[in-house]
Amino acid sequence: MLQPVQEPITSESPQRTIMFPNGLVGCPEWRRFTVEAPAELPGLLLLRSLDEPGIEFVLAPVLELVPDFLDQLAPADRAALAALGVGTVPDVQLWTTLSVYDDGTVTANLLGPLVLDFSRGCGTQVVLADSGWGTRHPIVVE
Amino acid sequence: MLVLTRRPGEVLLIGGEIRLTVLAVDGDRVKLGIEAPRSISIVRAELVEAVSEANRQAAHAPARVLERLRRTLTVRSVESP
Repeated sequence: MLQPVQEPITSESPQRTIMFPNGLVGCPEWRRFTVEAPAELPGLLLLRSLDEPGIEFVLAPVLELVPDFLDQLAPADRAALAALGVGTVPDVQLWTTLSVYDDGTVTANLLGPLVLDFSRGCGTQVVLADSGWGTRHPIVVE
Repeated sequence: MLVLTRRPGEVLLIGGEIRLTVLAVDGDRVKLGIEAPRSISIVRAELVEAVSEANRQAAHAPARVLERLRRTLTVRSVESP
């Protein structure tokens, strides 16, 4: 049985489990993950699939990358996130997956951020319908 | 696939809860108005496909991402006064 995430992930509480009831977008079979904080890079999370070995993501907090992200959203997208608790429930946080390209550029997927509810141990991935963010927002450029 | 022809101002009802109105047709563009319960996600298909592709790209990259970020932080700390 999954142990729900009860408190924020830190290097002192290194690993928890979190459930995405609908999986990730395009990957509905990826539902159960462990979440841990890599000690060498504080502030990031590692999301590892329990359903498919080898599937793992590096996550960064969206509001650390783009502090006014919520203010920039279209009203419908802002309302959709608020309905999930983003900005209103402290334990509900917005995270983004990171990718790296051959030229060394690290990008964040701000079109499809993850909403993580650490108190309930569950998450969902949203697609922001009308805000203009992309899947390759550069955060580190060579 | 069910194919229906509608004119601007005409409406389709889907499942009793979704109301799809053809607002305007301009050349090859159709403007639609959609009324649906908040629980139903409505999003352009190409955005879902883009996020799906991004998920598959990111799903195998952690080691490279962490190494790249670690290297960036090392360089920055060296550059710091």
